[in-house]
Amino acid sequence: MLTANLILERLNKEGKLLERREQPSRSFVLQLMDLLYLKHAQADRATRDIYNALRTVDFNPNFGQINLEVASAPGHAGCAKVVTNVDRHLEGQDAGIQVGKGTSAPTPTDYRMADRINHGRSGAAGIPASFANPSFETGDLTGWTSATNGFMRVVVESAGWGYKDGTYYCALESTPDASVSPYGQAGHYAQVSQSIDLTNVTHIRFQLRGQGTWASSFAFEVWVDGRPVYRIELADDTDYPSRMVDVSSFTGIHTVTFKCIATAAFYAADHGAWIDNIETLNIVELEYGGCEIVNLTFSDPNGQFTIRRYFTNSSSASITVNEVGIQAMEQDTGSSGRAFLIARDVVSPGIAVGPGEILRVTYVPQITV
Amino acid sequence: MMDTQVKAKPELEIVNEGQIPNLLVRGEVGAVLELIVKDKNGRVTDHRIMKSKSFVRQFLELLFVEFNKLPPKAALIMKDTGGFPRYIREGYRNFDCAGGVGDLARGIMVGTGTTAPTIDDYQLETRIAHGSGAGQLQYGGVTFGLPASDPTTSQFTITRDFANASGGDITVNEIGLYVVGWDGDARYFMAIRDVIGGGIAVPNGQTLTVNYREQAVV
Repeated sequence: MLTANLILERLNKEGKLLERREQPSRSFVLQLMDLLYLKHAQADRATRDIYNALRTVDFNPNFGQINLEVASAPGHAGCAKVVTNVDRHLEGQDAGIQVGKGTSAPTPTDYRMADRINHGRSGAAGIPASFANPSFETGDLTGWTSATNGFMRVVVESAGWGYKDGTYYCALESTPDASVSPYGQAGHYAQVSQSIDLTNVTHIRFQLRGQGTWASSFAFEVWVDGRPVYRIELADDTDYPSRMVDVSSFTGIHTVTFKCIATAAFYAADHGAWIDNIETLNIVELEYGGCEIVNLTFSDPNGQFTIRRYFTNSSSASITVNEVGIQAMEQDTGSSGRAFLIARDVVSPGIAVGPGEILRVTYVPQITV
Repeated sequence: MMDTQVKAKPELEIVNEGQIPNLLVRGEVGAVLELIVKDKNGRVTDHRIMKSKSFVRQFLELLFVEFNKLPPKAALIMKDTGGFPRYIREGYRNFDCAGGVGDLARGIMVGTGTTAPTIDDYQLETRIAHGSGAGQLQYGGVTFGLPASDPTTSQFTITRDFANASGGDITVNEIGLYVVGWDGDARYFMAIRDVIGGGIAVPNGQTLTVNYREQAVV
């Protein structure tokens, strides 16, 4: 029989123990059975990854030899603030012990942490300020300042974007004149700006659509004061993904600008970027150390080893951890590494990790004959 | 004399949600051991379900190797089923127990030993050989039931048939699972060993089906 003990220890920055919890781990989930089956049977197995995609895991990986890998490097440094895409995570925080804020009871079919705390340093102590007229539902640019040059315009529109919430959205796009020689040129832009207190704002999230067949002639940027913090090359979208910009390094009042700028000549009207639902978020993060697996020991009738990871709170917020889990890396039949949740436990009551404090999470899998 | 081929087909049941036999408690990862004896007409003459008690050290060692993705230079020394130390490293064959008909290297094994398991056991005490001679059983191929789950339990099944064409009755007292560990070649290790209290008799002409259901209970 295999069981596991889960130990959570809260330390101050000098390493002094402030709080200790120990509980039986309850919750090895279906993906562990899937991955053990794959190895026992030597057969590919379709398994749900942490992004809810069914991946066919390759029992015989030919690249990287990833197999049930739980040991992990630390999460990435988290210090790049320009052109950051926080929707992507490196392997460093996708494998190994995970922590989160979710409180829902575990089930065998859990495929991800209910509300994972990502690797990073962001997190503010207060409530984030909001943009005025964030979804343009006044039907105009109330609260915003617009600017354009060349064959570009800013208009608040009410038709054409099937996925928008509410009635209106803001179009940063080419004018009808762009169809007439000398045409639109690289460098032409349209933008909207607003001043906002970013003290308690870690991220700005918005819906963005690249509009029109000439959308690939444009880029979309977010600026804070005089410098860009995000840029994406546009394409004619068929979906409307949320985009997120990390602004956690800013405090105080700043001017935030959403800008569509041409990167090449363009020749028609209504092409560029449409934006909607601009939100401010306070996303708390913990810095993920490496996940180590050590101390394999046996003493009849018992055997055990230790899986351990340190999480450092480098934010200015107190972060409560309510759930802990383990993710393993596997390789799918397309030779891509994928992460799978193999265990998830709820910690009740949650353990609050203050600014500057460290959480040490230890799983001890044990067998007893 | 040529070995008689095992004709019995492994019976992999489709388990409906909510109907998974469950002997484990919350938080346990283990196995349920199901033993079925059938006569030549397929009639069940004995049926037992019990909690498998005995993952042995090689199971945990292989899990440690896989979780750590141990490279050759950091290989873990493990004792194989012959008692030889092997330098085992990460590899896709680790845990392979898909033995074919008559394969005595990997898959479910049966024996006559009665000594209680210890964590350091690395082989069955007295394994029954494959064949139709006296005291032998014919080992079928290992088959697998796909993983499934109900609201509390996820599981999959490893199955092997053992047909008795020996001409006499055979009592099985111990059951184990042998799996591969990789050191550049496939080596073989015992991951589980269970002793059946009182043993289970397999009369001549009858077939023992062993199901190991590996389970995790939330």
